[in-house]
Amino acid sequence: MAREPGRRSVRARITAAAVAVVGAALTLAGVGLVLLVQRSLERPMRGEARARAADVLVQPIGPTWPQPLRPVAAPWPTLVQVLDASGAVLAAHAELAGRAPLLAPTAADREPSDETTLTANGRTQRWRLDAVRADWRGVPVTVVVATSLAQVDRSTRLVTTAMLIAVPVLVLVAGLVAWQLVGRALAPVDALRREVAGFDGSGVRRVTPPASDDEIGQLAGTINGLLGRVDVAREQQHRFVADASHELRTPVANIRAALEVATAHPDAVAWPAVAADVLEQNERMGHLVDDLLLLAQAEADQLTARAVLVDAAVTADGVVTTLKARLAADGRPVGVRWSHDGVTVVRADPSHLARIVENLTANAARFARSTVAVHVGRIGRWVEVTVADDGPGVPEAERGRVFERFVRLDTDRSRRGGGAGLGLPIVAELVARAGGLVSVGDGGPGAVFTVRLPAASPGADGGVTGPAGAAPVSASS
Amino acid sequence: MRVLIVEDDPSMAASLRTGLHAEGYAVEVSIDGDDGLWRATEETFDVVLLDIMLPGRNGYQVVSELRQRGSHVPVLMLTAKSGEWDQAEALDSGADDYLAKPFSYPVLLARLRALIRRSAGRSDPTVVVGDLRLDTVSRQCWRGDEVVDLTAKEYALLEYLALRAGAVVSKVELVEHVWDAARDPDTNVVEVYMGYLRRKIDDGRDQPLLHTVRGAGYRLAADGP
Repeated sequence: MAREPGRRSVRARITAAAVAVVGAALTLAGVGLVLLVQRSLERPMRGEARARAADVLVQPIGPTWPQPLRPVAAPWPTLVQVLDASGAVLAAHAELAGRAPLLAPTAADREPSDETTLTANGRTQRWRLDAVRADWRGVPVTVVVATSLAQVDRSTRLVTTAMLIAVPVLVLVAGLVAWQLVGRALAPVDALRREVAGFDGSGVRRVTPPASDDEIGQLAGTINGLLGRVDVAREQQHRFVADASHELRTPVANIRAALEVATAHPDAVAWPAVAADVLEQNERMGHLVDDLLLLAQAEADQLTARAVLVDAAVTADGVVTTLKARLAADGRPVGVRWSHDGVTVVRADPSHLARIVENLTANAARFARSTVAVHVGRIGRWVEVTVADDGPGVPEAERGRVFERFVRLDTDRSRRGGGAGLGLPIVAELVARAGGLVSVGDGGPGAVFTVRLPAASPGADGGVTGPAGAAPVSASS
Repeated sequence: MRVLIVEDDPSMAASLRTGLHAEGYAVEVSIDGDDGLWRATEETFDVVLLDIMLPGRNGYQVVSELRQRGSHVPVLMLTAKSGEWDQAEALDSGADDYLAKPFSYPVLLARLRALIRRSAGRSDPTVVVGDLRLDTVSRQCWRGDEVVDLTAKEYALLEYLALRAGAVVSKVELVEHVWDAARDPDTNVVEVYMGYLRRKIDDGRDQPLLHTVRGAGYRLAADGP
């Protein structure tokens, strides 16, 4: 509900803007229209005034002016005064009888014309005054023509009144239309908001896309895309927690069952076997906790890497030796082929490098039928570690998944040394930290894992000998 | 009582086998879902202990397939998962009960006894036939007020007969339910153990309870042959 006023204000703001713009435009247009009407009505008046002046100049038949002047024919009521050079009234229409000169002769041909208010025939009106200089029988006179502006004023008043009524009505209509349109435009947004607000974090969540493929439709599409990604992440998180708890609980359950059975039937069990079983489960749990912690640290960017120059071939040699010994101890008829060539010095944390090779070889040994082949070589600016086995291989569709946590293509936990599915994710994490690449491919029979690490530039840090000599120590740890 | 354990974890399977065997159960172990389903279908068991995470078919698939094939054997599901959905799914798939790992061994035994009792149509953990009384929890036997000392195998045999008191039980059925098929495949062993039992519970008493039905098998009843 806290969001409601914000949404309203968008509607109000747009409506206010529409009202202001329409109001200003209509007001300007109205004022312009009134001025235009006034101007166009007054424009012919100067010409008319000159014509009336000419009409008046022919009224005297003798040397004297008719007193008063005779009315002249004109489109508007028109009154005339004739002034001599000194500005005294020579003659005037009856309505102006006895009046002082309306204009001085100096005002002749002045633009704009003057205006005055006169009461003639009992009616007070605005009059336009034009002074026209003329020559009457050799005597310079000034003819002052007063033209009634009553009609102009009436027309202007009519237009103004129409505007004063029309503009507010139009502004009101514009406001209502804007309010409605914005409201209608925002309604799907509000519907989306309500829908999203209604999500309680369970089940599949999608907003209903509006029928139109406009901005709102695109917004709904974007929201659904986001929700989809959230769902995938949540699903992954759920699976991870379920897998982790399963893997952690299994050895706990095994230890409890072994000890409770042994306690319930002390004579039926061989205690050394129980101890060995419990130890094995304990070790399994320890490895799992270590692996999970390492992955968690890597994820939180808290993995401390002590990068030194180290010869990958020396590291791999140590790992291979350990692997051979373990295969022999387990009595598994799996051989290890080991080879290397070129300068294979990399800049990496020796324990991480050893861990990478250990996990890859342990994985290969688990699936190999008869042989594990380990090779370390130089390919351009890369040092390449390949670990191949002749086991069932990794189907093409699963090749991305094997680096995900708890993914085991072989679900048979009874297989000796079956891991929890964290070995390869750790490899992927450590290789990425070292700036390298890891991939899995088809080895004819079996799988080939290839790790590429950037080769250390020759001569850097004063050569290879020192750190490379330290590498076997970390490899055998 | 014959129990099938379907569990792929070697440590857990070994512990359960040892414990249940010591409790007098005839124990068989399957290490994957497909083998477990096949054995549960082809052989006779009084109860099945079924893990959920299995290679091949998982536990849910095994129990639901088993029910589709018309089997009514009591199934207790073991799971390392403990989400409510997993437990609901276990029961909805056709399991009779579930136990989340890590579980308590005494609770497991009690639930197995309860499942077996219920599948025999009983609720009382004490079985009474005439003046013979069996406590299926402590695995003790009384004839009147007198405690009868039985070995695990003798007790298992007597309990199987007592749960079916009045009915004739064949030697083959007794071998299937009381003995491990792999270890004691011979029905002669039944006659030997019936001799032991008869000596301990009937000898020197007015009312014999164990009766031989010639050509058919044995019958435990208080109402004569």
